Parts: sequence; structure tokens; C-alpha cells
Amino acid sequence: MNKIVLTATLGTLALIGLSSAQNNMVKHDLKIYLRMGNAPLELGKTYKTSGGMDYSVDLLKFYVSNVQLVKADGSSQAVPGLSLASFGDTAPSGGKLLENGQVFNAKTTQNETVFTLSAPSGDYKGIRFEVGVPKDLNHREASTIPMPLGLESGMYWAWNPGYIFFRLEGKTMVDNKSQPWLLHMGTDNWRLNVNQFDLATNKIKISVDGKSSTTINLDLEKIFSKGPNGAPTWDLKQPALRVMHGGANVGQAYLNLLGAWSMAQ
Amino acid sequence: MKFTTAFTICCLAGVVFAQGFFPVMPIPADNPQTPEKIQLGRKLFYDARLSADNSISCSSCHQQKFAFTNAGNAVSTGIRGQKGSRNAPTLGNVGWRKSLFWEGGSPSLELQAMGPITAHDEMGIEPSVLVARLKGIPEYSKAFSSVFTDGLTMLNITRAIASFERTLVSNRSPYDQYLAGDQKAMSKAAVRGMELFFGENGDCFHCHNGFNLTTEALHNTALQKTNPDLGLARITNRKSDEGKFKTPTIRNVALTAPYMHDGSIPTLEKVLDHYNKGGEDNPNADTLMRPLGLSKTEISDLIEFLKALTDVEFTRDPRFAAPK
Ligand code: HEC
Ligand code: HEC
Repeated sequence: MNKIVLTATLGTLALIGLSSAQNNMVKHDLKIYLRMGNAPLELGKTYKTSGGMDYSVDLLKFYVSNVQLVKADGSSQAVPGLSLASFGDTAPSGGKLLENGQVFNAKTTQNETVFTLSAPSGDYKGIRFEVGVPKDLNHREASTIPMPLGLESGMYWAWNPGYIFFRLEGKTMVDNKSQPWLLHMGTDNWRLNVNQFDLATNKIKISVDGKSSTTINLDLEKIFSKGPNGAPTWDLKQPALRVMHGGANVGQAYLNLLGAWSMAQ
Repeated sequence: MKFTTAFTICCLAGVVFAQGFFPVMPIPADNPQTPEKIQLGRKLFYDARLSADNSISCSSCHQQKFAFTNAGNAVSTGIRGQKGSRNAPTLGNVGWRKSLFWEGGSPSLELQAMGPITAHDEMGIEPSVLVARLKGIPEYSKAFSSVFTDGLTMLNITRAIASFERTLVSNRSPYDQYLAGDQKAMSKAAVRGMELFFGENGDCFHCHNGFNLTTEALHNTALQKTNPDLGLARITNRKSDEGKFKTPTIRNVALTAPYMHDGSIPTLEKVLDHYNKGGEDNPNADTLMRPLGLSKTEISDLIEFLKALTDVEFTRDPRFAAPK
């Protein structure tokens, strides 16, 4: 009797040992290329909207959460964590962090890590994530919660208890005067889903092996690809389209932004 | 009318009641008031170094002379000459408000202060930049270390400012003196106006009630036919919440023109015209908004009452002024 139990136990232990050897948890960076159409984005450089208006991008900050690696059978491997990525601003990164919290201050706009995932090694068919803060974290007491949330994140939205999920700011010229423009997207309705996976073909392959990383393009030109209410361009002359803190126009920017992500080769 | 009588009797009868008229101010357990912290907050409130280009302080838009509103401006001007879209509310008795901002989205003075500091069209500074800047100013780094065990942090900046704001109590108006038993403190016209205000004819008390003359509730008072500023709906995304704003206190209202969340009504006379007319034809208009049929005299009595809510001492109290 004892022998059988012992053998069974040893067998189980061996199996556990085997499976964890096959599926080691390894780290894998999700990186980003910020683009303006086909060119790398340069912060502070003047670009033109499709309507011909000059504008620059000076700052981009966003949260990444609810990351999932997509397995060959279509199921997903959830990866815990919430990160804040900043381009053009330096958020405090040295202090206490939220459990699985991450803070990245990018030095350039190219190939910068925005999330480090920890997942069982293996080949995956793609990745999904959300740009935003999970509902469960979005409304906690902001004065005491550590980074990447809290008051020092630069993302706390005082008029609304919650965070800006995606914060993009720059300048534009209105009547020959430089004016700031900004898009602050947030509230639980505007959590953005990014899906980059392909089960049918083998176009996307993510090898989580402790050596490689995954890079995604974010084409900021797309944000102004279509104006609200069917307008063909985004008119930054209009104050309501220049300064957006939530509201209906953010809805159009959100739709435009959904199409701004792609896998980098 | 019943209400008016009851109200008047208890007020006339009760000096004792009047002393207890203002409730105890709620102070957050993690931010107790201390004299040193209040002084630090006062300094910060008046310091333009809290803005990106060192040009704007809290006091630029909240000026003591105007009961901490913006000197007759409908909307405020922040850094680099940028105009906002809303009227700066008074900070008198702000420590008692249940929620902050016109749509009431902010739960505490500490968290509210993050709004103007970071808003690009107000003070426009990143928290990381502000903390680094103040750490470079010896008097601030010293003061923060002595007031807070964890020294100079964004949270502690907001805590000090909030502590100062909680001292901004306005309770010395003729109306307060009248409630305390001094029957000569208000003119006869103002007393008649008070009765209208607290009676069904004027009907103001349904929303402007209690020691701070607000129920804190949000309403759409039909300022326009449409609701260009979404108000509460900005938070809830509900159509029926469009154009709903927090009922303001109307203490010191004679000093705080122009009026309403957008500063669209220039005078108290015009405010009364608006209420007397029942407002515009707005889909979300509060049911209380209806033609009141007030006569000219009744309107001027009501205005006399509103003027009796002015606390001149509040506007020149040296404890609230810029530190020397
Ligand atoms: C550029 C002008 C401006 C500056 C600077 C400014 N405020 Fe304000 N303040 C406003 C306006 C406008 C509102 C109303 C905003 C809204 O409701 O959306 C407001 C609202 C408030 C409220 C809410 C009051 C209520 O009853 O809801 C408080 C409290 C406040 N401000 C405190 C401060 C403090 C503290 C500072 C400095 C850190 C500051 N303000 C700086 C213009 C300003
Ligand atoms: C249905 C609730 C309601 C009633 C009834 C009401 N008010 Fe108001 N009052 C409000 C709200 C809400 C605002 C702010 C509206 C806005 O800004 O959109 C306001 C604003 C005001 C203001 C402007 C204050 C400022 O600082 O801008 C004054 C003055 C005022 N009310 C006086 C009165 C008087 C006098 C009456 C009675 C004739 C009255 N109110 C009846 C809810 C009400």
C-alpha cells in the first residue's frame, strides 16, 4: 500500500518537474515603434494632418494591461501586470511599485519597451492587450496607491476619479499662433483593445524563449485619419477638436486609434 | 409657507441653535490640520512657481477680494494666455463641500488640487517636474520635512494646500448675525427676500439649503436650450445627466459675478430673471424650473437677501491673504 502511494507520488512529482522544465516562466519584452505613417516619429517635429494643418507630438503616455498571449488553439495565456510607458516625460520609477506594476521612461521613440511580460516559454500565435487601467484598479484611493498609478504618475484625472489611459499632447498653429492640442482618453468606456494575432496563417509568431522580444508599431498619424461625425479630416482649429478630455470626439479618436497598431517585422 | 414659519421661528428663537448652525468640518484622518501645515499650504496657494512658466498661482483665479473667485471673469486664463471654459467657484466653506468641480467628480480637496496643477490650460505642470522644482527651493524642502514625515511629495503638496483651504470659513455675513439673534443685521427687504427664498413662491430652498445654502445636489437649471457642456454626463455618459451641475453655495454671491458654471449670467438681476422665467426649454430641465411669477419688488427683495450673504470680514481676513 505504502509503496503504491510512494510510487504514485514520485510519478506526480516527476510529471510536475517535467512540465515546469518544458514551460519555464521567462521574461519577454513588448516593445514599440512610434511612427508617423512610414517614418519614425520625432517628438517636437512638425507634421501635417490630412487636412493640411501643422502639428507636433511632444508627449505620449499610456497604460498597458490585461496582456494575453494567444496559443495555437486560440486560447490565451493571461499575463498579470500594469505598466505605464512615457515618451517625453519622466515618471518616477525608483520607488515602491504596485504588485506587478511597471514603469518605463522611453529615451527614444523606437524599439522601446512598454511592458515586460512573464510567461511560460513557448511559441505563441500573437498577443492581445488593453491600453488602459483595469476597472478594479481605476477607482482605488489615488492618494495612497503606488506607481504606476497615483498622483505622481502624471495620469491622474482630478475631475473624474480615475486615470487618463492614453495621453497624447503636442502643438498646432492656429492663426499663426502656437496652441497646445491634447487628447486625453480614459474612463472605463474607452479602454482600447489591441489584438495582434493570426491563427490561420503563420504571419505572427511570438517566441517566448528568454532571448527575443516582440515589437509593435503604433502609427500616430492614424489618430487624425478621420474627423468626428463623418468629417474627412480632423480640424485642429476647432477648440473642441484640439482639447479633448473624454467626450464624444474622443470616441472618433478611439476608433481611429484602434487601427493604428500593427506587428513590426 | 409652513416651512418659512418654522424656519423663521427657530431662527429667531434660537441663539443657541444659531451657534450650532455650522456643523463640524470633516477633516481626513490622514491629513490632520496643524498650524505649520496650514501656513505651508497658504504659501503654496499663493506661489506662481507651482505653474509650468511661473506665471499662475491658485490665487490668480481664486482671489480673496472676490471671495476666492476670479475677479469678474466669466472663465479663467491659465498659463500662456489659455482660456478655460468654466467659471471659477468660490472657495468659501469649500472644506464642507461633498464633492468638487462643477460636475462633482472629485471626492476630496487633496485630489481636487491635482486638477488645476496639471491641467494644461491652468498651471500645466507635470507632477514629477513640480516635485523636483520645489525640492530645489530650500525653504520648501525644509518646511516639507518638518511638516511631513515623508517630506516633499506630490501628495503632501496637495495635503498642505487642502489644509489651508479648510481654513477658508465664511460665516460672518449679516444673515449669520441675523440667525444669531441680531434682528437689525438684515434690512426689512432682505428679511422679506429671505422668506421668499425659503418659501414655495421663490422656491430657492429646494436646492439652496442648509448652513452653506446648498444641498450639494446636481441639477440642470435650463440655462440654454442645449447642453454644450455635458456636466455630470461627462462622468456618467448618460443623456439624462447632460447639463447637470452641482448646486453652488450662494454665500458671498454679490462678490462672485458673473454666475453659473460657464459665467454666462452677468448680474444677480439677470439670475433672478432667469429663475423667474423658468429657464430655457431644455430637455433635461429640473422639474423645479418653471415660471415663478415673482413681482419686481419680490425680485429686488430676493436680491437684497442675496446681498445679505456677503461676509466682508472673509474678504479681508489677514489669515487668508498672501503671506508676507
Ligand atoms: C486658471 C484658473 C485657475 C487656477 C490657476 C486654479 N483654479 Fe481652482 N478652479 C478654477 C475653475 C475654472 C474651477 C471650476 C472647474 C470645473 O469645475 O471644471 C475651479 C475649481 C476649483 C475648486 C472646486 C470648488 C468647488 O466647489 O467645486 C477648488 C477647491 C479649487 N478650484 C482650488 C484650486 C487650487 C487649490 C488651486 C491651485 C492649486 C486652483 N484652484 C487653481 C480655476 C482655477
Ligand atoms: C433645481 C435646483 C435649484 C433651484 C430651485 C434654484 N437653484 Fe440656484 N442654482 C442651482 C444650480 C444647479 C446652480 C448652478 C447651475 C449652473 O451653473 O449650471 C445654481 C446657481 C445659482 C446662482 C449662481 C451662483 C454662482 O456662484 O454662479 C445663484 C445666484 C442662484 N442659483 C440663486 C438662486 C435663487 C435666488 C433661486 C430661487 C429663485 C434659485 N437659485 C433656485 C440650483 C437651483
